[in-house]
Amino acid sequence: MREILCVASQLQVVNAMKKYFTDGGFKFCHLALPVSDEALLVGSDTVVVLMSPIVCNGKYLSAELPWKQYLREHLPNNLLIIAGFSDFQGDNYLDLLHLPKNIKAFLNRAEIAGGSWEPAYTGGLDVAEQLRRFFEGHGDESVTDELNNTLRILKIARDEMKRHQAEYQSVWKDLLLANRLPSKWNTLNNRWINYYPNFECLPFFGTFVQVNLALQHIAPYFNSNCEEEALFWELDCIEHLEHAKSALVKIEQHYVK
Amino acid sequence: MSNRNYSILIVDDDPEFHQQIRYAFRRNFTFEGAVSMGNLERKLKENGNFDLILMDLVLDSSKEKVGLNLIPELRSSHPGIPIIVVTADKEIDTVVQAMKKGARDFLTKGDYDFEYWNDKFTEIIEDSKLKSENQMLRAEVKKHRAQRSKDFAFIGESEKIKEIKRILRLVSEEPDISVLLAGETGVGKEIAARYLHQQGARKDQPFQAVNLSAIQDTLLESTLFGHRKGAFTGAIRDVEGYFSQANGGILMLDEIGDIDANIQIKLLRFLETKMIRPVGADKDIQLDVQIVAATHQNLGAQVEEGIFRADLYQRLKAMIVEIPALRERKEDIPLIMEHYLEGQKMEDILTPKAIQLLMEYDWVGNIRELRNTINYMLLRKKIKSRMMIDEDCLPVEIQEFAKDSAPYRTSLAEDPSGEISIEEEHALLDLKRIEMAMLQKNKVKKDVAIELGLENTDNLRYRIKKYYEKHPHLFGQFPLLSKSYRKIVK
Repeated sequence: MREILCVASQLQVVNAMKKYFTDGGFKFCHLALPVSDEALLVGSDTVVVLMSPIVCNGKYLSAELPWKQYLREHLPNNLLIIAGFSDFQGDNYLDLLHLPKNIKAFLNRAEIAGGSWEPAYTGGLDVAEQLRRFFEGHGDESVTDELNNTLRILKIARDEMKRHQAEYQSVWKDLLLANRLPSKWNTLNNRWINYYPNFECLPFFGTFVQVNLALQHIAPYFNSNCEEEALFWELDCIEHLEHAKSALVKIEQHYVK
Repeated sequence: MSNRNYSILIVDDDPEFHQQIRYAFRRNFTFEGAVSMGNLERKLKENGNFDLILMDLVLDSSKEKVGLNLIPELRSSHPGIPIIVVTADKEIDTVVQAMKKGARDFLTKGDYDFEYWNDKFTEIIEDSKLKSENQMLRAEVKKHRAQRSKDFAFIGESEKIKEIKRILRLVSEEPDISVLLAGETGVGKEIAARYLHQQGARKDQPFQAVNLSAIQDTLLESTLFGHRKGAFTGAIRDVEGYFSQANGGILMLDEIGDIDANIQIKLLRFLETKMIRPVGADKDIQLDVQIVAATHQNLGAQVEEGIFRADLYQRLKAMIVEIPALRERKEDIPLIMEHYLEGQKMEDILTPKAIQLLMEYDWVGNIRELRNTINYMLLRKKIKSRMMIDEDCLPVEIQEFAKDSAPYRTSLAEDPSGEISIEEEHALLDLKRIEMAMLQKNKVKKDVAIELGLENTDNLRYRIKKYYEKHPHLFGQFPLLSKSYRKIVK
């Protein structure tokens, strides 16, 4: 039996779709938010139905572009169906107000995720644009820009202490405070908090969860105004930020560029 | 290793980035910073001697990559300063554009690594310095070559010279044939040899010239063929001789008539086998050298007298080119003079009378004498504050030659009044200078020649010989000089 994986958050809609697809002879699975990595270990026959806009932490978000990008990378022969209440026409758009009578025929007409079709923009907050701003090299809203700045300053501090046996106090005064590192951390953290909840609807949200854990792990050091040398070393601040950075770089390379 | 002498200009609108880089690399480099384009212009005006520019591409709030347009401008206004782009953006398109516009490398701010950046800065600065030094050296070499080709230009449009040039061009097509250049002293045998070198297949290979009569007999073999460490007292290392240095090219052996029998045998062996054996070596070395021998002597007569080996002479005389004396091609004198007067025409600088005297003179010292005469006349013109070189500025022998065609070696040094003549005074001063240099340089002729501003020891020897021919009575005052040149000063 062919499987439907439905990504949606409003239970009423989920239930309506469950009845529709089950009646059509499909096995129905609901993927609730936040999306977990394991839930996406699906078979090659699974049809992914993404509700759009999708309600995520109280916001209406359009996440079809990153989803298509993700499936194109990992499950290019699977179908991605965008479901919603708009009156768009399209082989991969399922109008929930005018459900097709023959769902099998509809799915037969739909294009695979690896195809060159463009998902229609469904009017919610564009998550693809959010990702672009998140990763922007220069930008007042960029998280990676601020993360890179923070990491660079910490590396300079570490080199200064390890290579040149500098005292932490002098490094703190001459480098960390001179470059407003605590303030940079606050900026980074605020930006992160702004984006993080919006990414719960993304298929690669699991990576953001890991990054979030890393940031939470090192937060005490920055919350001490970067004054506690012990926290600098014990929390492995640089290693955690490096880890976060490399995880984010992978997302950027695969799903954003 | 500290590179603190290298100065880096950071161009970035983020002052905190300046602070971080200065802080991280302060032990290794010195820094200046510019946070805007106006600031950058001012910094470059104040101090254009930066070793490196680190430049962000986004330089203002517009977030446009204005730095991309700055790169070619900076490359053109300050070509010696390499640029590394350091930016937050690592889009491949941006990297390619920056490199195409002249950036030497690209670093992303997010990938900071002390070791890597430090090495990159140093490598690019040193590479750039090496390139500039190479360019400077190339320019120097070019200048030097131009000067040399000017010094050794084979000047002459007379039929005799045209014919010699034609023959030398033909000979140059046979890079293995030995050539014997004959002619009086000073006719330009080395110039002819260099002309042959420049025309032929060996033109990009070395040209070495050695005056065999200027080298002591005991040193001649090792000078020509080299020696191995320990071959004799003082041989503290292996030394290449002229033959090895000329490998692939041409070796000119001037005054070939002056070499002793031992060297004659070794030279003959080389001409037959192309092999030499350095002094103290136990193996032969194969070389590819074309020999151009030169002499002012009559080698045929020397063979008859048993001084010169007949078999060597037979080998050398396969191609004899006789360079004519200057008096046999006086029509070339104006051209040669113009050359040494750096383009000035003879008639613009000499009075008609002086020209007439120069043209009538027999130039026994040939071109070498003409060249020295030009220097002498220019000096005399200056001393006498003349607008033009007149007959008073000419050497006495030329002035007297017209009056009396007797050889100038008759006592022309003496003024008829019995007082010392200007020429003799000049010789006396010069000999004193040479004697002093001999003393200072511990009688090392090469160093003495350099001290006196002469090209080589041949010129020194020639000068002394000329003075001795004209003023032998002066040499009693100069014992060092007389002892060092006892072959001349008898």
